[in-house]
Amino acid sequence: MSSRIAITGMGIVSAIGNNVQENLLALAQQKSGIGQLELLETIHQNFPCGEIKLTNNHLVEALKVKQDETFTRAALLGVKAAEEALQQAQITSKNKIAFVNGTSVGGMDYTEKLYKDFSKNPHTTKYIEAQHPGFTSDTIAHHLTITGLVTTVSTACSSGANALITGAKLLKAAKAETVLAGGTDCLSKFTLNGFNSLKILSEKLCQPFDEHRSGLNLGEGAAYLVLETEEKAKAQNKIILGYLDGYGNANDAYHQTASSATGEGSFLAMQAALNSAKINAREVSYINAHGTATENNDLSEGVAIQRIFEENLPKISSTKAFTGHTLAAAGAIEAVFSLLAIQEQKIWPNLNFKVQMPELNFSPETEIVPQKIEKVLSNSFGFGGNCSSLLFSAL
Amino acid sequence: MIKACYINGISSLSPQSTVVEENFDFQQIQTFEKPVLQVAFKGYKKLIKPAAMRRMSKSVKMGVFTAASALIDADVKEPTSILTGTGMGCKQDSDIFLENLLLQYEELLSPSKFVQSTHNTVGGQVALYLKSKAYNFTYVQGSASFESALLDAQLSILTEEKKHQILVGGIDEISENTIGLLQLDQQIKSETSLENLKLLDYKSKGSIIGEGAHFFVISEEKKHNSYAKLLDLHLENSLATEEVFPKTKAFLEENKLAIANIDLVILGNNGDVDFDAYFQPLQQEFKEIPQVYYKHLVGEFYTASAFGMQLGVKILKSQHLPEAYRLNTVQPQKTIKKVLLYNQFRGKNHSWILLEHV
Repeated sequence: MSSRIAITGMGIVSAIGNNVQENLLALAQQKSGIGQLELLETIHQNFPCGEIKLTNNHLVEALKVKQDETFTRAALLGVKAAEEALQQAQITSKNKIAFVNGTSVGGMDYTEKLYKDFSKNPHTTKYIEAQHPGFTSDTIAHHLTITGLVTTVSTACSSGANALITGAKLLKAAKAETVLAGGTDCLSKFTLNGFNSLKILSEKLCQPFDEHRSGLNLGEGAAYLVLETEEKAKAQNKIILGYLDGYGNANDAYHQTASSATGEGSFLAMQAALNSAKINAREVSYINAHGTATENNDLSEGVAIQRIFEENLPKISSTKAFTGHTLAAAGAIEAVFSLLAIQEQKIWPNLNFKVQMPELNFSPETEIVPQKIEKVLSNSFGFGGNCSSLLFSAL
Repeated sequence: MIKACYINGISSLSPQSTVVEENFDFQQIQTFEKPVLQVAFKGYKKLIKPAAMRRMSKSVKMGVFTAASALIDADVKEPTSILTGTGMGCKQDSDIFLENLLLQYEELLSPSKFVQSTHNTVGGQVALYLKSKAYNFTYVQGSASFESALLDAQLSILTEEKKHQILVGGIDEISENTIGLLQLDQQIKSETSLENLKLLDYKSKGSIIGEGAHFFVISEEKKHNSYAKLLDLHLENSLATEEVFPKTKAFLEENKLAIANIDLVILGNNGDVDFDAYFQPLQQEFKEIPQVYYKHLVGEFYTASAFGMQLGVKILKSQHLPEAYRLNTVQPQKTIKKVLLYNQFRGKNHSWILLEHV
């Protein structure tokens, strides 16, 4: 009964590009998208962010959004990435397609902008309901004319990865024929101030896995994959970009926002991903790490990676220094980067890294490494102890 | 479907709970004269230590309490996964952080409310309470939030070769700060005095709002005291009113059932004159069989349908149709074996659940 999950389409918008091709180019040129904020109105201009330099008005025009639709920025970014993925997978009929979205910010960008105006301006009341994440998914689904199964995973920074897990399970249980899954989140004052109040934002460009790392840079973006069973994809002669062969989720059960020193949750998630793909740790060619560049995450994740792989560490890098931490979109964006690593047979560099952490016995890759890549493990961890790991295969 | 899903434990906190008793009672009905129905329960100490409770918001308290008591009810120590659904997450803490941010112009903010504001806070706090490292997912999909979590429970049982004890629930809380906003966009009725038991008589826009937490323990293993069997569920994001009945029929047919096989229908009518038309086709087509509803007793909230499911489970177990919940006057002619639930909110996030007597 259990068929492999094939990926037949992908779409992305991030600070390093408005589609897959632009993202690939920036990765290959080692060009980061993190810099000074230009669009988000905040007093915290000192924090560099991975902001997408497209205004909401520009996106509304480019995507041909109708006047009566209630679009949040996350929905606009989501539609942009989703349309690219559906097009590549040649999905024309939306009848049997399920949409599994991941978002944590939802429509908070509009809520924070309009909160004081709701009672004064009747034109804004339609955005009251838009605060909850499901509303953003509804809007994307409506624009894409997906009317059937639509759901949203919201597990903070692992949402996008978890949406892909739910999507795979829907196919395995034959509850859907085609699944569009991934995540979207936009920059907002709410999250910028939230992470700032936790003192985990860096005023410098982030340095994942560096001894002198000083915190994360926030980012925004969206990415989606089209998932289909291998049989169906092959029967329709579709190009298969890779397979989602394994996944694991576990809870660190240590602290609401901090990770345990032993990385128990990430250890269990990676182990479950390897087990469900029925592979040995040695078979992994590359780990696209969560690597946010916070003191806590990189230590906890690094320790967990060492526990799993022991002497057989694969090549490791975090791509957060390209895009910033895009929260609920991160797992999906990094799924696209993992598939691009498979497509190009290259490991993407961990930008800004200089000094190895004394607690770890590995350094991430700092240059593009061409090598045979068959299996990629992609990690995503979030608040609430939520840890996820996805295993992508080339063949 | 080869593998079945049995409901082996339940727990409820709703506006029908009393100050001391969490689970609702068919005879003892709580009434309200305002459109905001809150959970009055105070007995959290039964399961949560006071020191831990001080840091918990209402939704965390309600969620942790019902999760723990559903496990006790099912006699399960360690769940194999924790699945939660919530429409708004920890709304109170999110609102407070947002208001402070606006009021203080982004300066000097404490992180305590922010760290509780992610939608998976209850799922994470349940894991911390149980020291559970198990699979832990949170779904946030409007009125299909709980059903999304329930779907994951079903998918887990269908796709994984292992034994499951799945803790699955729905949680939502009222935030005092934003009641005004819900009045503004007409989610809450504007009548100044309002009796909840007459909800369907007002024929006006909006509904009454409520809150609550409901957990279930679901497993492929049937126990001597199992409550019911979850046969199947189905979600549709958006529909026209005339599509409701054909979709209902198709869902029943997928499960090899006809209209005549259903013994009870549980509907999510909330008295909103603009949207109760979605329930009309089923009220009409199932007019020969008993129908019940529940939002007049617990209010509308994104996970109110989890109360509806708990109502269905209790009716199946007790074979008793509580008077206060009845939508029509048809008496059951035989054992209530199959129950169909249908819900939607503002024309979006439609869900169907099929339960069976065990």
